[in-house]
Amino acid sequence: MGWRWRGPGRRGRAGGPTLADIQPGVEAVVRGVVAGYGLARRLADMGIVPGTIVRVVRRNAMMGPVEVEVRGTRLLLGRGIAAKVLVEPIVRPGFPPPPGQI
Amino acid sequence: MALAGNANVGKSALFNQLTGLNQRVGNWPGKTVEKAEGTLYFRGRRIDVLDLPGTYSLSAYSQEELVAREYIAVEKPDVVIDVVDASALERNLYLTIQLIELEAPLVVCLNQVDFAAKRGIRIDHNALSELLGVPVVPTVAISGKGITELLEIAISVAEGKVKPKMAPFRYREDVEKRIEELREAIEAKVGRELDYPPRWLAIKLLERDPQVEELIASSPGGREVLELAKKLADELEALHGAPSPVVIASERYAIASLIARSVSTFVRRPRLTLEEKLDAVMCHRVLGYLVLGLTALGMFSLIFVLGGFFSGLLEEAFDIYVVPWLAGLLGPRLPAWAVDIICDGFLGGIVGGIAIVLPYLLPLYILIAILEDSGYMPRAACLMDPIMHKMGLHGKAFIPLILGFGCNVPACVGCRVMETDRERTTAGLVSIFVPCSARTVIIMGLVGRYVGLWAALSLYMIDLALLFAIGRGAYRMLPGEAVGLIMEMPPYRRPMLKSIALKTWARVRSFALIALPIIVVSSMALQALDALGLVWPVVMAMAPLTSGWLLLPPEAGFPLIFGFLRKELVLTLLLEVAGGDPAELMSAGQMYVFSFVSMVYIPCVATAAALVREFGWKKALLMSFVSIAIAFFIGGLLARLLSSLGLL
Repeated sequence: MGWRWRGPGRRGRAGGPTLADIQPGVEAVVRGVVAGYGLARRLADMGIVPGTIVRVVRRNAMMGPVEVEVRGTRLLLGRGIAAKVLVEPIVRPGFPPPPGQI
Repeated sequence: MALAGNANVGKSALFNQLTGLNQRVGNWPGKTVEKAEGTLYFRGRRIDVLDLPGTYSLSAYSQEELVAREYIAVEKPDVVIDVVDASALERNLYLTIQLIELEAPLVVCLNQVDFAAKRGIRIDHNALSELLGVPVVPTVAISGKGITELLEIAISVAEGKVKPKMAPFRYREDVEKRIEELREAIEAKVGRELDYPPRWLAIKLLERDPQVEELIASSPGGREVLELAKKLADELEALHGAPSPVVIASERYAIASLIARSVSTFVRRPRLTLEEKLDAVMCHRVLGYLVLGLTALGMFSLIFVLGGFFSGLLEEAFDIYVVPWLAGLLGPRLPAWAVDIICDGFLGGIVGGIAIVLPYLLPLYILIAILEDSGYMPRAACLMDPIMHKMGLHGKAFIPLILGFGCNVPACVGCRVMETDRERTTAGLVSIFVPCSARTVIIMGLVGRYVGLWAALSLYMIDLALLFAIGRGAYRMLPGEAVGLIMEMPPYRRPMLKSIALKTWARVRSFALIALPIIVVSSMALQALDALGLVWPVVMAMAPLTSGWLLLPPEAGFPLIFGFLRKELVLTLLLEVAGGDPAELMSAGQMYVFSFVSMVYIPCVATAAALVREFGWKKALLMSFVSIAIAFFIGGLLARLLSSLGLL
């Protein structure tokens, strides 16, 4: 558990895209959480359960936290945590908008 | 009457509205969770109000959640007011559902309806009341709107005139079936005399709640129930492919979502665009850090200028007027040593305490309260998260550390925001290395004045680097895995005067209660030792350390000993020892080493006391020992480095 530059946040590590891979402005459906009981329960208490639709608002610099909109409020998730949330991006025609329009 | 609710919903605003200055803040017995109680007089009734810690859930995840649910189930308050943020109904209802499952006599306070309206959300509170089966009162706590109605309904619920008809929420068939099976087993085997309702126990057992499992295991017939619960939870997990607490949480959120959607109307897009723009700057990868740096710099220079001015004024007033007056009064009647103890010890302690509190802490607390209430702190925490991660901490720890620049005492107390024991300890250890305002006085007054501003700033840099290194060291050494950041990002709000005043008052008071008596008593004790002639022998005994290892004049030991009381005494006493001009006693390099050591070498008495209170004797001693060892070790290395460069 040393440096966290690499590793989490890369696609495919936990079998499919995670919340850490989603670009700002894109919505995604939560598929599951790759974590022990403690973290899974904590995320569930904050409303991140399978089937929840989340929208990534911002990804902060230097592997900083990911800001997501969940159930009408905004949550900050550390990048390491975001990389444990498996998601399915929602693809809509014309979405995400090209850069500069967000 | 107890107040429950999520964080950031205006629960403390409601509590302040209800009780005003009539409140007592303490700790829950045996826990480091703040307990706020107050009294309220309404229509000839005396009502005791208890502010439960803000939680998102009632699982056993944190001490706060345990405290809240134990209080509701065991102490059985007459009425529980669930403060719900109207602009985030779905998330808030998640807790409401759990409170209903706990069969608390509930009144829902639908707060911040004005703010929700501004964001284009309208909520039909009658429909909400109908669906939940409990009274719902719309309020705006910060302006006091709706509070009278809330109290009237709360009283009629407490007196049993209004019976909330709370039907338990039905879960999905496969979950519901198992809950009922387990509930029947609990009622048959364990009986009904437990404080918690059987259905709630059944749900918690399915969630594998460790506290409830323990409770059931210790009651007769509990073993069989536990086995059944394990079997049913395993079945649920196999069925849904997710941990059972997640399955149950999704059920609750499904209900919350259904209710929230059927009672709210969205008039327009929820978020205000101004807020988006503000966040784009505040969280920007360059501008964000710039704003953070400027905010911190502005805050500290303001406090330093203001604080230095007023603190000088205060001390001078005492030194010129009060002390000679008291000495003149007592001089003829008491022996000289007694006069010393009273004048320099007792009065000096009080003056010192006041000279920190009023000029330095007060403005800092006001500014921090403004930052907190405006919603800036989570943005700062977000920016600092990657850096904090290197120390095994996360962004939230930044908030106590910022407090530490004023005084380490509130910083230690503030470490409670951390989720696990391991992180709390790391944050506490790191926070005592934050250069507090008293240490700034030494650095600026000695190095800044006699050596140069850049030298003073380099000391800060060394200290911050040290802080980071210690945090990393603790991260490596303490067992356990790092916990990531999960934090709500509340919308920006306009800070309210009353809330800032009350927050500042509470913090200043807690400082005064912990720190002031200790400062005064120890100040008197040291004066007594001095009067008995016991200090100089100790200073001389320390000479091998001070002059041998740190290459300082032996007299420098004297201010260092007294510095344990209050760090700014170091400077005053050094001036005294040096006969007014430290340049006579020490070279520039020695001042540098001396300032470094006095900055790091030990937390002051007040901080030590706070450490003991927050972390226990063992950890407090260990932390103090770490800081002493590091101060003298690095101080010696620094002295050798400077002397080899010919700077000493």
